Amino acid sequence: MSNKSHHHEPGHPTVGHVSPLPQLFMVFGALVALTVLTVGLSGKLPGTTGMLIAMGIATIKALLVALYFMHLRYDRPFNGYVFLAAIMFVACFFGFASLDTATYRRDIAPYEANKLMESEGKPENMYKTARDDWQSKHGGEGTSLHTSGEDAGAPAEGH
Amino acid sequence: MSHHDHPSHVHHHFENETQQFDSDKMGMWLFLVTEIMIFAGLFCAYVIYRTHNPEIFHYGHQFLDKNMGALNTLILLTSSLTMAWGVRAAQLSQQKTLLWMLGLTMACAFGFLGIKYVEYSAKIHHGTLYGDRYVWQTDEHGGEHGASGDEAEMHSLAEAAQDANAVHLDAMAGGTQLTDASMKLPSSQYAPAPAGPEGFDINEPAEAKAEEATHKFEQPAKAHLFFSIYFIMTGLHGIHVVIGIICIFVIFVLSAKGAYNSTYYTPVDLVGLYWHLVDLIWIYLFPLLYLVD
Repeated sequence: MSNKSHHHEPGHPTVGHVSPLPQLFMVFGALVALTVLTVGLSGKLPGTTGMLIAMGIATIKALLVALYFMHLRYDRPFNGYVFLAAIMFVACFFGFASLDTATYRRDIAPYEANKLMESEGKPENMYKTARDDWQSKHGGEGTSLHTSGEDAGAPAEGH
Repeated sequence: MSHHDHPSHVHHHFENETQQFDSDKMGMWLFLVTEIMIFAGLFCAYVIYRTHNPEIFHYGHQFLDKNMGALNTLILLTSSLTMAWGVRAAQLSQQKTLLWMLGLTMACAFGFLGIKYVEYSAKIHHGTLYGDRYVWQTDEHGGEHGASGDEAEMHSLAEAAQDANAVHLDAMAGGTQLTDASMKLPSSQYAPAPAGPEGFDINEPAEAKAEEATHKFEQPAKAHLFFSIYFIMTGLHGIHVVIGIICIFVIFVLSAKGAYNSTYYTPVDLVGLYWHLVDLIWIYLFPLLYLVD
């Protein structure tokens, strides 16, 4: 679509895109409907699925706002590229941070439980219990973060 | 370069008004990208904390009223519509419509802040605050909230732990008061909790309900993390709403003086973009904080 109207009608801008009112109302209606939908769905779907669907709905809403209310669809493409580049960098940011989180997650819960036990003066096998408990829920083998280093021995091997 | 067809609103360093308009808009989009980056840092913190401690989010979100959040979403969406309509009115030199739309947008923005005020007040009253200001109590000792919370906290702590190490324990838990329930270490509070305990209707998350629910719900250690994230994210968003109101007010005053019409309306357009971004961020904040299940 052309974003410049070169015919100079009186009362019409020479730059920018004028949104027709019906379009604005339709976008608004869709946004409200999607809000009602996401509220209605909350609590009805299992954890991850529910969260993914809620994020999907939010992304559709965000796209509607960006494309129509923010005129990106009719704007200079460069502004759209700037926006997309930002989203891409955010995705990298989230991706690498999550990678790190996923890598070390299995060690953190047992480690914290262990520290808490230690401070309580009961350093028996709570570290092992916590780790086994966590693993039975999530599968996989926890890497033994504490078999070397300053915390070594105390929790896993007992006293 | 032709200088005779250079309109007064076009600065001398621009070739023509198209170039000026495009530059202005591109600059605004670059600024909006920096705003996205600011919030991305907070969203990333949310993702990481939630991955590590999902039970904290399931516990904490009961304290938020889903209906208030939904109402605020609708208010912001309405304000986005009126803002977009206002830009259109400016483009078409519809002075009166422009003033009405800017006025309605500001009214919606104040409505949003009003509801946020009600929500924040309830949290201040209940002591479900950020960091070590979190003094929500779940046991008998916790009848008192607010200022005396610390005392009650120390009391129950000493009883439960019965030795000096408890102070260290408190530090480990990051200032959260330790109830009898949270002393039952470690599996329940460190392993990710199930979606929600049986018998509790998760669809009624208001603060009063939460009070009742905490007897069934085990309060996870570090429950205050949820409220830290909640207050920082909604707080920064709220600051943006306030800045938006100020910008729209300036535009409103200038519009009343007839500063904008179809030949020049760039400031209205740019403030509109800012306002839509504030709406866009809330579109993600709402499900992430209020609709955790």
